[in-house]
Amino acid sequence: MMTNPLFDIENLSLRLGGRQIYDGFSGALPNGGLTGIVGPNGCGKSTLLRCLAGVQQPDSGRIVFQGYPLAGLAAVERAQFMAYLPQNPPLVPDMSVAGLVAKGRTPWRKAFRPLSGTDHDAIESALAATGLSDLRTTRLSALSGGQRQRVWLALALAQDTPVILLDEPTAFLDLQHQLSLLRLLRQLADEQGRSIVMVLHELTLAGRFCDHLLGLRDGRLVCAGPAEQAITPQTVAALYDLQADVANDPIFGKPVVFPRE
Amino acid sequence: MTPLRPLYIYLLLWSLFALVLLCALRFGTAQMSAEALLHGDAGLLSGRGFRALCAMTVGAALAVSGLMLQSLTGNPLADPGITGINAGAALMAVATAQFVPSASAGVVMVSAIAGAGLAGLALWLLAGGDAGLGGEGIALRLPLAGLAIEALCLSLAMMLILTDAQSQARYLHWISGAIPPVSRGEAVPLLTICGALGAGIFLCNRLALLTLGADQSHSLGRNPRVTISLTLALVTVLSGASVAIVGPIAFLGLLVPFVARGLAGPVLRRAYGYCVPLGAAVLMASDVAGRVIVRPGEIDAGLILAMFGGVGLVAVLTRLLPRGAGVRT
Repeated sequence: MMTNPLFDIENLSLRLGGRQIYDGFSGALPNGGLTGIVGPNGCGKSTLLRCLAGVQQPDSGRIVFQGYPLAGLAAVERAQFMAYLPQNPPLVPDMSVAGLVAKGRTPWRKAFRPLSGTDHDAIESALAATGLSDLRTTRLSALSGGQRQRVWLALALAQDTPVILLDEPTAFLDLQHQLSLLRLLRQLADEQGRSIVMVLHELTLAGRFCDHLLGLRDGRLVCAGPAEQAITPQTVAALYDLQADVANDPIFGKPVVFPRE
Repeated sequence: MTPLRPLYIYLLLWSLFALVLLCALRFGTAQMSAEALLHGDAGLLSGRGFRALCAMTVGAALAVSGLMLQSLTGNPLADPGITGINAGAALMAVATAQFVPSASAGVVMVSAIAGAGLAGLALWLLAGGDAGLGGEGIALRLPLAGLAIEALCLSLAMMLILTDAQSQARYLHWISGAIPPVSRGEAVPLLTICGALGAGIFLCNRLALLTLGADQSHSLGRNPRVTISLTLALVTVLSGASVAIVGPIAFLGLLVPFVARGLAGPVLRRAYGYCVPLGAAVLMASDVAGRVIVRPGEIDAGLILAMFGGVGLVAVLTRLLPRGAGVRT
């Protein structure tokens, strides 16, 4: 049993669109650092993140967030504790970078009041952290895919929550942008002490950057723990039906998967 | 070119509104001098004044109703006319008036709102809306489902009107969108619209958040289901009450929000603020035009709007769908 977990998931069951996603899923996510959720397509990792974010209600079972039942939190309260970034954010070409990032302040604002000093500070530091300070007045339609991804991340940062949930933040980015985004997340976890939970596709990148990994398959927890424990030939076979060797990266000392097929 | 400051746009739109209001009071089917209007027995406030009040309120209501519907569905063509919501309201209003002749204006309005709600519900189901997805996914099917509902409801309403001589006298002009020349108990729907227009301002930021995606809105602390319900309720009340006063009016809810959104950019609350004076001015202007161009006869404002609205719709379509866009899927 994990002591003092960030999320404690107890016996979660959920049916969506005629498919049983989870049937008694249990697990725990640690407080602090970077936690990665990995697994094959359709294993229920995005849905797990939606449940943790409180935007999807499970049919039964419960999620305990830092000791409190998640379902008992009002939407606005919840939004002050955790930010959630869904996969494939929509195109909003009309908006400016700063305009979109300012939406992250919604849970903290009162109706018909202009942005407060705290709001401006949070927006500024979110823009600075994502390297977008010079692009604040640019329209979203004029940005590249990597920049746009950073704007959405800045929105989540401006929400100023101790917990951030990200659904495939590196999707559609090329390798160097994937790396710089993950380095940024690592930095946010280390320097600002935020807990970041994200769904990732790439096992090797997940192993290199995350402190803790959860491997899912068919709505079941296959493996959990630090990268060295979670990524082994046995777990890769159990997760993906793939024969693979696992060896440590010569530079970072983290596990790398070498498929044998 | 630097964009116009919002303050100037507000000033411009409200000046336009004031100008049209003056015209609406000055020009009528009968020609009168200004002094006669002010002192005479034409009864400025009870006659033309009342008519202008109805036109401005309904114009603002339909414009806002269209704006909110377009924001919700992500479809720039969605308006209470094309989606069949006005037609549903018209059918229920006519049916109530015909089968319950003793019904008061308030009851007719409530049944019009119910009709608008039923048409909206039918639309949502036909177009396959999903509250979990927000307005996503129904953008394309919406106009087709709406056309079917509109055609059905309007033809049924027309049948009801034509089978009854009394209804013909009362509703034949109404169904083509006529601003009432004398009060027949419009106070209740007028006040309802004013209340709803005021309440709608509080919904703008919430609805704007939904355009970032239902999950994103939820994670920022605004439940998308609540936003959708409140928006549909607002649209239903505005459309139903408008139809109870002047009948189903086409195109206004489509064209005015299109212009307002173009002026306001991505800020929904600003577009809302522009829609109110612009919508009011457009319907009043149509009414004035209808009274003036065929003196001493009169053309219903709804017909004038439909005439110019058709041209406007073509303009919107060419703007929305650049040449060759139809080839892409």
